[in-house]
Amino acid sequence: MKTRIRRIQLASTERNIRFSPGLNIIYGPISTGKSQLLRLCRIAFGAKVKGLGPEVRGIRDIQADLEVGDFEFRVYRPLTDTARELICVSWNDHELLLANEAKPYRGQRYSEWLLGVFGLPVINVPSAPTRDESSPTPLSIRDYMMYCSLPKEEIGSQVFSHTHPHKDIKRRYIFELLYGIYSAEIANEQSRLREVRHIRANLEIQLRAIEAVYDDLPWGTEEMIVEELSRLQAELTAVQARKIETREATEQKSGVALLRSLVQHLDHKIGELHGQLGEYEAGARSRALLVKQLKSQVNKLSRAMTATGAFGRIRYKRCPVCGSGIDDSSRTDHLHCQLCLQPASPDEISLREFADEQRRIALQIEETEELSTNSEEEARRLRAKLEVVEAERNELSRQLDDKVSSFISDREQEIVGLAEAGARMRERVSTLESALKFARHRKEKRKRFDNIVEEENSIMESLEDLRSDRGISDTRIRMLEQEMSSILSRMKVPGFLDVRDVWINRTTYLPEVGGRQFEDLLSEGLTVEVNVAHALAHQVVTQKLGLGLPGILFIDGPSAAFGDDGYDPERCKAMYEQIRNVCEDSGVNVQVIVADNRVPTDFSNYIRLELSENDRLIPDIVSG
Amino acid sequence: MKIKLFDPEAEGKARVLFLISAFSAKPDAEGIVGWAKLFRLDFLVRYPDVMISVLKNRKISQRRLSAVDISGDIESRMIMYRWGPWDPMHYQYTASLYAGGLIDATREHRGMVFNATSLGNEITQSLARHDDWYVLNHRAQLARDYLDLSARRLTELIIEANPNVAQVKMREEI
Repeated sequence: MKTRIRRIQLASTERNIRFSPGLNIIYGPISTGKSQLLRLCRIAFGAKVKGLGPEVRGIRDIQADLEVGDFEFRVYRPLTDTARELICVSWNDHELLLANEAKPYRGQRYSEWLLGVFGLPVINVPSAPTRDESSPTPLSIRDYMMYCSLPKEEIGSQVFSHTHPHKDIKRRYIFELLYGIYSAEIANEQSRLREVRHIRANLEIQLRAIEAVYDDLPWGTEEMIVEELSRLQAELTAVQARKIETREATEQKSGVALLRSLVQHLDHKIGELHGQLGEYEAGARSRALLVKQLKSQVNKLSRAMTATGAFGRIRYKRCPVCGSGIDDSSRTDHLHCQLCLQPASPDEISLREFADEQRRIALQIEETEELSTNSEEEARRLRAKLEVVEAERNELSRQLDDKVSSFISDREQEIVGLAEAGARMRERVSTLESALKFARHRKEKRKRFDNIVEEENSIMESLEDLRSDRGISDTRIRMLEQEMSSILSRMKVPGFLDVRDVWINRTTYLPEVGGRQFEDLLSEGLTVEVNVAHALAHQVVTQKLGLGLPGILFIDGPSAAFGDDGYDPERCKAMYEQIRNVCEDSGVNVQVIVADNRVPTDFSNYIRLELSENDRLIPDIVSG
Repeated sequence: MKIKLFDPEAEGKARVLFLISAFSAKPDAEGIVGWAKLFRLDFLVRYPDVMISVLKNRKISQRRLSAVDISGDIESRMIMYRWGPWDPMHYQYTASLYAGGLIDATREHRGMVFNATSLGNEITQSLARHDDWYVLNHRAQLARDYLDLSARRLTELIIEANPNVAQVKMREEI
């Protein structure tokens, strides 16, 4: 994927460095900030903020204009990795705030977003490559960018950090992904396999426990339990039927049934009598209350009559309204009302009315009392009847108890025997039902386990199929080997090394030249040449085949490996020429940024930034 | 029953006269002072079970209490008005008794003071000889002997004996 950094600006300084497509050189003596600049460029492409020198402390953030494919964007990247600091990405009229690598993550991270921009898959890979079920770890943009960087501390000793165990695992996964040995499908299958193996492990433990318990029990197979259970249930039904039959027959013979029936009949009758008696008693209470109230009314009437009689003889001496005295003698005679002067003899009338009312109430009292008397007689009769019925019921009940006792003693052994047998059988049935439930549970677990094992095998076959298809990847790796060989052959490497014999180890994915592994290339200059050729070959092949690797390469201090004593400028120049060739290969479209303190003369026009002791990358006033 | 013009219920009038007459018979002959006291005393006489509870709380001797059986149904109900039992007929009873010269009613700084006249006492003595009025007369005498208290104190005693009285809403029957 075409990748370019067009510009990088360091905040708080005047550093605004522009880069061109193709080869770019940052030139300057040691400790002027060249390596820092390359690190800052890598930070713009998602690297973590670390490995920066103290002089960078004064730089708050960087601003970089980047290009990936046809997508151009600007990134504002703070040079701290605290969770609060967000990274701002903008393009056209869009702006996006993204989290950095510090936890807790506040939304999507910049590194995740870059994966999407590069069109690279988001994949979790097993942390132990030989164990598919090992815990997953994600592949990030930084892992891909390993193939785009030859830092000065590694350029002469490591191939893309291969001596770092954790990074080496990632390096190999990236190689496999780029060259088709590994894929997102394989990653998914490995994830499924992890899950299935976890389930299988749990099921295995459960099944082992169930089997251990089951084996110790004398139940036999599920079929045997079912057969035994059916037999027992049939036997139990027969015993229960026999028990009922025996009891009924004996009851009939001894007359117990008849007695029981009679007692029940009398109980019912007693209930009815109680009900009737209750009604009479309630009626009697109501009548008693009524009589009391009527008598009270009679008393009131009597009082009213006597009072009326007493007050009737009183003549008003004062006006009851205003209190003025009344001259009684002149107003009227005794035949007329003293107050209203109308003729009347109201006392007699009202007295007569009182008396009539009294008589009426007295009559009502009499009737009520007569009713109560009759009712009380009926109640007495009912009580007597109830007493008789209860006595009869008690006698029959006593006879029944006697008969039942003798019945039980006669048949005691038989009844007890049947009851015991029934109880034993019920207990056994219950045990067998539990056993059956357990047996079915075991069967189900076993079935589930078998299914899981089948699924596991299926996934492993699928993985094998996916991995076995090495046709394309072999072709690609051979292209890589050829390209690397071609590049090396144009570098002026020492003659003892057969550069035609370039081999990418199919296990470690490390280059071997002339039968020598990387660690066996004793000369540092040679290791640098091999490393640079290897990195360039990767760029050429992946860009030509469109395998997704970012088309940018940072090389730090390639000429330093050649040393000062015995420095061969031609070898250095040959190396630079190969770098330039790759950059200018129209089919490749790679940007290379080299930081060096010794640049062949022919390449001075590729210098984009020249630093010096007096003109460091970051002035002292900023770095403090 | 024919209702005579301004002849309030004779029975009620007689009951009030019994009370006033009983209280007028005390050695200091003070009578009944205040409407409220008259209402409370009449309530007790009309609600005999409450009266019995109040008397027991007043530590009346058992011998005196059981000398005459004063228990019975409620004679006639009163209503709750403001702070205690009330019957608007009291005003008519007393007006009629006063007009008939059976009681004296004077307004003093303590309130209305009711005393029976000699004619009123004659009437009560005459009625007391009837069986119908014997019990009520006895209640009036017990009230005079044990319950000659202020209206406020009588109200407290009533509520103490029957707390339900205090729950009755104004103008509702007790």
